[in-house]
Amino acid sequence: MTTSPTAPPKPAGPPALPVDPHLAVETDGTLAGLLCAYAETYKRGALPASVGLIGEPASGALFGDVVRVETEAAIAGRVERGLERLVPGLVGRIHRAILGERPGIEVAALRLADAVRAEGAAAADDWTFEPAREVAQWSGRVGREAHRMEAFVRFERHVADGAETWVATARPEYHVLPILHGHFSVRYPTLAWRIVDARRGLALVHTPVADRAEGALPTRIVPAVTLGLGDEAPDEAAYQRMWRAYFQAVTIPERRNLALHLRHVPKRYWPYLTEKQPLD
Amino acid sequence: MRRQVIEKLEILADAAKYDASCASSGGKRENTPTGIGNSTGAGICHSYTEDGRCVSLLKVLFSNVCIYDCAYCVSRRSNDEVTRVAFTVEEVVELTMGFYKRNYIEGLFLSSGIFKDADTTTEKLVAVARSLRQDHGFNGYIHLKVIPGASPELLTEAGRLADRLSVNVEIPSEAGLKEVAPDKDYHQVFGPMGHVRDGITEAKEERKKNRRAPRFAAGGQSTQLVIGATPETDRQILELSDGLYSEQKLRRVYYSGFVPLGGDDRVPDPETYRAPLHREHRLYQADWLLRKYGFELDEVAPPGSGNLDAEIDPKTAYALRFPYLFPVDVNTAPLEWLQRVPGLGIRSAKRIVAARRRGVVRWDDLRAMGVVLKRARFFLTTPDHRPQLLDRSPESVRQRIVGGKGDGAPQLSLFAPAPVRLAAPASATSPAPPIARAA
Repeated sequence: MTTSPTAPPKPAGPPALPVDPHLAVETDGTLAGLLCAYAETYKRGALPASVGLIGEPASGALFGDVVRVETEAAIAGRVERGLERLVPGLVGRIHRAILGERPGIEVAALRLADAVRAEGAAAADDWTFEPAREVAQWSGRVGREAHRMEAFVRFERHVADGAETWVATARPEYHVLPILHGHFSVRYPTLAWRIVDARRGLALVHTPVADRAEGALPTRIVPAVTLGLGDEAPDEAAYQRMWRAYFQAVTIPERRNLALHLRHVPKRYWPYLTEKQPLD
Repeated sequence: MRRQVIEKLEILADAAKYDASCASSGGKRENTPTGIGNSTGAGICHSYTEDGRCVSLLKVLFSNVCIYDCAYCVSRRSNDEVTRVAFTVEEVVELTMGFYKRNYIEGLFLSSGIFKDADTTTEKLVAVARSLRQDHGFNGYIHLKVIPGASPELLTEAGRLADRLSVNVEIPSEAGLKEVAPDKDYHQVFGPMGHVRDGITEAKEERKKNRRAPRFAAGGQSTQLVIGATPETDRQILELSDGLYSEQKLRRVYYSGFVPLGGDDRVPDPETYRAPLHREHRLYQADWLLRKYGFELDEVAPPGSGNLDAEIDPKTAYALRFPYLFPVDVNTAPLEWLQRVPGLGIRSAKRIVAARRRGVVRWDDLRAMGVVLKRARFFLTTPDHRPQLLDRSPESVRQRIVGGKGDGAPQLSLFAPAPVRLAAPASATSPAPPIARAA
């Protein structure tokens, strides 16, 4: 038997910080920025009631204090290592959660980080503790959307000046481009591919190792308008036709179940799915 | 040439679609810096058919020419309705690579009609896999169908190249198989299955000693049972599955509700027979209880029980057969017991265990944790929810679950909630599982 009610966990540090209803912080909106915000508020001895973007006015008058947090890689790294030591995977969970772009999620993330520091690892998986649950649920939602992008993104082969580029367009519900690079870089290391987020006007661009400068990262996120497209490759239409033909052929008409189909492939993904384009 | 390929693709995908396996998980193949593809994760469904099945692999036959005459199979020798075609090795390779680069698929699931003999057929399947791996640096998922009667040497090569191998049992009893597939017997099926099993076991042993030893079908072995073409009951089917898991070490057994194709009077007639999709669903649920939840066969389907209950899921049926084991206290019951509560899954059970390390789990917490309260409310207690299960007959609980209107709200109680008893030992409130399992 693995479980029975256990003694209260040993506190891992000084008690959890209070939330100061008059304190607001501003960050650059990145994960590193949020980790630095934690270091900053820990120094001040209180958690903020709001986390906003630098340059975007917070809901003003409510807050006496607006602290602008500078992102410093060294500080972010230190906070990350500390949290990962307590709860492996927690920083990734927080990262996914904030990519959900949900107002207030950063505050929940800071409260969660602080609870883990103060009360130990068990706080992170306690769904009766609201910040832990919120972060876990949003991390789940964003993670699912990223997984759907890994499944539903469709590359088309384009050719410009003899070089091929594999281009996909999607409209993800959440800002998942920053967590897609790993999957696709490992899978297609030799291809020049890009994934365009049409909702946010951004593109994740991959450069094959052979074309990369020393030390350059395999992928970067850039505004989509800066990218040229080239022409569709001559065999592209044929492959799309074959995929549609395949998709038609594997359906078993006697088993048709549209409700189930829609649960798996909600309509909002259809405009970018090759198999959902009209047969020609 | 394209025109011809697209026609073959339509015919050979149509003929392969009754194979239920779509898994692309369990592989352990990492990509190389210059290669293409990998199959390390949990598997990805790249699309879903309009009948709601996952499309993960390019699932085709190499050829639908077949010397066998199995009544349940569209490609049977005596079926004059189908056009007989075959791919070339290059065509399958090109399709796989073209689809994979476009992110349509996780890989290839290649099967075939037996167009000449077992070895000639298997040689073609192996040639496709070999070309993908060696000529194209392909590290995506490859599932090859083992043709009964193929030589051990070919099977060994197939196992080195593929992530998964499968031999389909198809008909859940040998007598049934003989009825509908006169050219087949269980010996032909279990011979190669045993060979693959031994290959997998040996390769695992070798890799313990030497990390560079070659892998062999690292994604494991699976099979398929056709449901409804022959008269076996669910208990008989699950008995077979249980044996396949324990003795043949299969990773998965798939259940495929028979879709009648007509024109063969050895199997049910499409005019009067509907594909048993509901039965298929219950079998999958029961299968999960056996594989993932630590249930024993007799708990899920008692000996001689015939078919599973169509109206309620097998876990609820189990709970109603053993009402004295419930309700379970969510604040003290061990994880193995929480997983046995209808409406609780492995994930929600783990969430409960994680949460109660820090405090008391209450009724409202359960909904947020993903518990299906409509079923679970009869079988668990929290400090603020105490179902009076003993006063109710299992039959009335069953009616309420099947009736399905319940919103999961706590039962109104005449009594105030019982005081919280955090320190109660687990054994005082929750009986040990009838079959003890190593945790």
